[in-house]
This record gives sequence, structure tokens and C-alpha cells, in this order.
Amino acid sequence: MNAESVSRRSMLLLALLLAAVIPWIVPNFYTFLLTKVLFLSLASASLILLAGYGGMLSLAQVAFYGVSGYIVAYLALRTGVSFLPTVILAILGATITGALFAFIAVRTSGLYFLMMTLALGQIAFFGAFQWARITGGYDGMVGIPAPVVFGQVMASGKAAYYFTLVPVLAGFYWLHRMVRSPFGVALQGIRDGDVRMAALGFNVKVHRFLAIVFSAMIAGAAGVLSTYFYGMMSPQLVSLGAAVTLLFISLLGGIARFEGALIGALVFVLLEDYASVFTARYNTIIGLFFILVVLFFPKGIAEIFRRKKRAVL
Amino acid sequence: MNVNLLMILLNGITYAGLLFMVASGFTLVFGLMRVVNLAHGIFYLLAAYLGLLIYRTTGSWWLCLIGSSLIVAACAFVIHSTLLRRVQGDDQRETLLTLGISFVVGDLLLAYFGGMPQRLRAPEMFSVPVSLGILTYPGFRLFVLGIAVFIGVFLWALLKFTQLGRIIRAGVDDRDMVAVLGIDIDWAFVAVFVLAGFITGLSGVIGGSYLVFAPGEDIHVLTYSLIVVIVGGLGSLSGVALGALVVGLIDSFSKTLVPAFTMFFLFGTLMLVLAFRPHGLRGREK
Amino acid sequence: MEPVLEISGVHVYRQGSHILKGVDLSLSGGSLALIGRNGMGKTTLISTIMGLLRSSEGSIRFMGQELIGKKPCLIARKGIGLVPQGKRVFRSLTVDEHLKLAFEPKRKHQADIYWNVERVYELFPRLKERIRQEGTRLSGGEQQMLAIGRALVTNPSLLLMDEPSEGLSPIMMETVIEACHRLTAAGISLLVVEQSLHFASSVSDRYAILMTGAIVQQGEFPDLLRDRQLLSAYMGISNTRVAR
Repeated sequence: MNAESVSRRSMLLLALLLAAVIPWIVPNFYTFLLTKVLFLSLASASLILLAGYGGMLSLAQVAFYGVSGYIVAYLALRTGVSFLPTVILAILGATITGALFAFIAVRTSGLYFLMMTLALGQIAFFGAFQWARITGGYDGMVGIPAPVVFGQVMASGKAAYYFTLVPVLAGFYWLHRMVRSPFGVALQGIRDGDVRMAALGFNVKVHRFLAIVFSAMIAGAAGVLSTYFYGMMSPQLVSLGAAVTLLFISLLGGIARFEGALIGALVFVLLEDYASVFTARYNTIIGLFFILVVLFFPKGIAEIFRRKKRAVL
Repeated sequence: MNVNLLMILLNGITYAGLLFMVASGFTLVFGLMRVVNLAHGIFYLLAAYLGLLIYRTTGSWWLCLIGSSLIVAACAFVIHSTLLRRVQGDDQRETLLTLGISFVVGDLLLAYFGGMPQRLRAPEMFSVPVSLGILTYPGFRLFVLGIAVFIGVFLWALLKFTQLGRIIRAGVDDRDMVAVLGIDIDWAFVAVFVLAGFITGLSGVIGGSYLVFAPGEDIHVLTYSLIVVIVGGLGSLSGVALGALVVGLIDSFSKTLVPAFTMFFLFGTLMLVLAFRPHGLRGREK
Repeated sequence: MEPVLEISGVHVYRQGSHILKGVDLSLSGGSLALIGRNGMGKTTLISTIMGLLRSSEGSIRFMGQELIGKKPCLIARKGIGLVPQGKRVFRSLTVDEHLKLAFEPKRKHQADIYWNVERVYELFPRLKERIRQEGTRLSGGEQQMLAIGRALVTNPSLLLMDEPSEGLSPIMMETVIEACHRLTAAGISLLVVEQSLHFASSVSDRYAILMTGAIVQQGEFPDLLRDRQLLSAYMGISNTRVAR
């Protein structure tokens, strides 16, 4: 083990330690914001898996996020299903939705993929509006009780923080392992040149399909956390605005690597918090920042947008 | 034929007319410039709101129609020359920029006009129902269909018979090859983007007199445009016409029969079409 | 006399690999064949001259004017035409529309215009028979005629031809060779990238060999065809195939 990896390990350990004790150090309000950072970064990581490692920029992530959110809301409010089965069903729902979307979307790539995922995501959004009997329509569903884990109600700020922290860390760890597995390496190979990978005998469509499904699972998990955190679910969380927000978070931190998700989510949550104090038009401010990032800091997006040029020679 | 059924059918066809208008500009821009103009919906909504302002001051619907469309076309020009041009050649960044623009303009429209649904008043002459044998039908909807057909014929002729049309068609096939013939394709990009802005402006005012509009309508329009061009096949005008007809009819029938599931039906259509025709009904493999 | 095209020290990188490593080449009228095996950078050089690819270093001068950094359409307007590899006809345009698209008489002095739609049909009567056909419905040879015609109506003084013999039947090849002779006779300079030595030596007197990104040999064709060693070293072919 060389010195660099030792120092990386100790940095990681330090970060984990900090994450574990921070609610006891900072005021409750910041614990609240940090909890938000956690599940937003997991959602952003699901996009980074697709866009950064798979070369597929998706605007449908919020749909997966939403499906699991609605399942949690519905089961918690309208049925007596307990915590664990609720979570399993919610993530399963997101995964199945992901598989359905993937079935269509793997046939396309690049801008077509972006366009397809936008259409699919918005169908989910308007579907949430229309299917009011289940989803609560425009108003959504409110008053979702805090989850009960091992007999403990996860209601307080600190409890909610840890309730979010553990699955988010698990999610990041899984993603970290995934992109280093043979599957992950092949996925990155496909991002850099699908024709070449196909010629080498890799099934490009299956890899893309699985990447979308895994990413939907992660986004679904983030949706579960978000729904419990807010205690509500509404179509706004599935809207194009939400999709843009997620994209913005991922671009901010740099879409090429998972670490970017945490940085992006942190900056975004702080920005949103400050902007919403000064003005009701914080969407305009976020949008302007988004434009500025795309115009002047394409570094994050440069990686996935490395355009595939046909070898002329 | 059952009168109700005929009514639903006619509603579907006239709605398809509106969808065609909206989606034709979108597909032209995508076909030539490879830019998914995600600000397309906001152009529509902007035109509708501008129409509202112009109507309040002048009281003339026709002025709304022309004025709004010209202003939206001018906005398209400004957006192209200030923002898109800076990242030209990077299709994805161009696309993301249009997304950011749509986000900002949508929020500003909400701030200025509020969240209440609005509607433009079409001229009196169109409020007369037209008798079509066994049923009477709103005159304005037939007018919308007429305009859609007119725009379709106009665009077809433009593509078929003019030099700009040849440049657009050739550019859709192979941009570099057009450039090495000494043709300034950047100029064609601007022309197409502005033309698409103008047509979208027209459809915004017409659509805003046909249906109510409110903040968020932009996303509705954008989504329907996307579904139309994906079903019909990207970059092809006849594909847009066909896609608009399919989506218009499915929307009309499902909204009348099972209103809660329109989106599921559209999703199903998308799945079905793409399962058998991955490039859309009239699309061609690239 | 000033050379028509003067390339010096051109370097091009693509996706991290160094494709052209200091190409020097000069063409002063007539026809020059650029030969060499696949993957040596020939098409990259053509694309760089046309401005479709960027060179990181070097200079390309056409009639004394620097081309590097210019947009493709401006380079084309200076008087360079391209007959690209694979013909690249537009699939949604008919034969006639191809020629109308490329023919822009307003852009030039009246005196510089020789080639118009009618003259192309005179050169290739076959195209006239296919006037309403879409580009991709044509046979390979007809597509090649269309690609040449499309470049000609821009009235170039230099024509870059990239693998014009690719996929042509022997009869069609003779037709294209004859057309090339008529073009050089009309004063158009040709830079022909070719794999077929037969085609290359029929349209050009001089050759240049591009190998791994640089010009390694230049001279007259009769000398090359006699030099077995040179042929097998650079072209990787035996004498028997040359004889064909």
C-alpha cells in the first residue's frame, strides 16, 4: 500500500467520523440541511452513474425517485404495511419503472436518449397529476408518519439524519464497487466507444439496460429517503424543475465522478437556502447559475460529452 | 356514425393540428442543428402571455398573433446569437442551455403574470359554430386546423423548392458535406431557429386561444412535442404530421373515455411504436 | 510559379493520437496522387485541408493564402472542391437538387464560372437520365459521378478526391479516369488520394507516399512502378498486382 492510498484512506475515515458526529456539533437547522444534502447527493449519484460512467444523460431520474416516493406515501397513509416491506416495495417499484423506461431508451443514445428520458419523465409527472385517486393529484399526499425502525421512531432531526446517512453511505459504497467491477469497467468502455465494445463481444444494450435499472434503484432509494424526510409527496418533486435541479447538482460537482454528487448537493442546498431568504424568485437564480455553469464550467460535463468521432482512418 | 364519436374524432384531429404547429418548429431545429430545443415550450408560453399584453393594449387578436410571433422570433435570434453560438458544435451544451433558459423564463413569467390560468379571446368571427351535417362544431377549431394545414404546406414548399430548403434537407443528412460546398450553414441555423421561433409564436397565440394556459403549460407543450416527434420520427415533416395525428387522436379518445389514464395511453403508444419502429413511424436510421 | 497548394509541417492529433506528424507537400497544377496503405492519415490530411479538422501546427497555403483556422465554407469558396470518401451524397436530395444546391453563381465573377448544371450533365450523361432520382438510389458509380459533379459546380480550381475508385466497377473506373483527364485539361488541379495504383497512375503523373503521418517518398509514377522494392516497402503489394 503506497503513501497516497494511505492518506486517502485516512481522509475517508476522517470524513466518515465527521459525518457520524456532526449532528452533535452543528445547530439543528444545519443537521436538517445536511440530511437534505445526503439524499440529494444519492439521487445525483444515480444520475452520475448513468451520465458520467455510462455516457447517458438522463432527465428521467426524478420519475424513479417519484415512483418510490408515491409508493411510500400511499402505503404509509392508506395501508398498514410496515416499514421494511414498504421500502422494499418502493424500491422494487422504481426498479420496474426503470426497466420499462430502459426497454425503450436503450435503443437510443446521445441526444435522442436525453430527449426520450425527458419525455418519459414528464409522462410520469403528468401521470401523477392525472391519477389523483392514488397520488392525490396536485396537492400530493401529506402527513406521512416518520418511519419506525427497530421499534424506534425516526422523528427528531438527529434520528432523521442517521436514518438517511446509513442508506446513503451504503448506496455510495455499492456504486463505488459497481464502477470498479467488470460490469462497471465495461460500461465505461461502452461510454467511450460502443462500436468498439460491441466488436469485442460486449452486449452494449444489456449493459446500458442494467445501468439504467441500477440507477433507477438508487434513485428510488433516494426517493424513499426524501419522502420520509419531508413527510409528503407531490408532483413538484417529479417535475421538470426537479429534473433540472438534479442535473444542476450533478453538473456543479462535476458529473464524471461520484464525489461530485456530495459537493454539488452541498453547494446547491446552501445556495437554495440563501437565495430563498432573499427572494421568492430563487428558481430564476438557480436557472441563471445553471446557465453559467454550462457556459463557463463545462469541465464536469466535458467528460461525458467527449464526442464520439468516427475514426476516419 | 355516432355523433359523440365523430365529435371526439374531430377534437382529436383539430388538436393534432395544434400539435403539428407546435412540433414542426421543434423538429426542424433538431433535424438541422442537432439541438433539442428545450426552450421550445417556453417560446409557446411566452407568445401566449405576450398575446395577453398586446390584447390588453390594442384589443386586436390579429395584432397579438403577428406581434407575439415576431417578438418570439426576435427572442430566438437573440438567444441563438448570445448563448447558443458560444457553444456551437457542442450539441449537448446547447441543449442544456435551452433547458436553463426555459427554467429562468418560466419563473419570470410566473412572477409577472401570476399563476392564474388565462385565455386569449379569439375574434368574434370564429366563435360562430359551423354546421357539419349531423353536428355543429366550434368555428375556431376548424380555423386552427386550417392554419395547421397552411403551415404544413408552406413548410413543405419551403423545404422542397427553395435553396434554404435544400440546405436544410442536405444539412439534416450531412452537415459537413454542405459546408465544404461553400455554403454557410451557420446562416441556415439562424434562419431555421428564427423560423421555428416564429411558428412556435403563432402556435402559442393560437393555442392560447384554443386552450387555457398557465405557468407549467410550457412543459406540457414541450412534452407533447417530444412525444409527437419521437412517435413520428425525428427531423421529418411528414413524421410530425403523422405523429401529431396519432397523439391527437389518442389524447382525445382517452381524455373522453378514461381521463385519468391519458398519460398511460401515450406512454403505451410510445412503447408500442418504438418496439416496432425504433426510429419512429417515418424516421430513418442514421 | 506559385504552387496551388503548399502544405508545410502540418501536425494533427485526433482523440489523443498523433495522426499527421509534419506533412510537407506541394502541388503546382496538374494532378498529384497521394498514395499509401490504410490508416496512414490520408483522409485526415484531406479533412484538414478542408478545415473539417484542426491542425495544431503548420501551414496550409492555397494560392498563397493561409487556410488553417478558416471555416470549411470559406475554404471551399476560395476554390477548393471535395469529392469525399464514400461519396456522401445527400439521401433526401435528388440528383438535380444536389447540383442546384452546390451551384451558387452569385458568389463568383462571371468569368470564373465554367461549370454549371448543364455542363455537368454533358460530362456525365448518365446523371441526366437519373435527374429525379434520390442520391442514395443511384449505383456506386453514379454516386461517384454525382459527387464529382456536385464539387464541380462550385467551380473549384483545386479538386480534392478521396478514394474516387473505391467500389467502382472496371468500366465505371475508366469513365471516372476519363473525366479526371478532362478536368486537368480544363485547368483544374487534382489531389487524388488513392489505394488503387492503376487508378492513381492513370490520372496522375506524380505521386507522394504518406506513411504513418508523413510524406516518405515523392516522384514520378513510371519510376515508382519500376521500383519493386519501393512498392513492397510502402504499398505492401507485389509486382503482379501492379501489372493489372
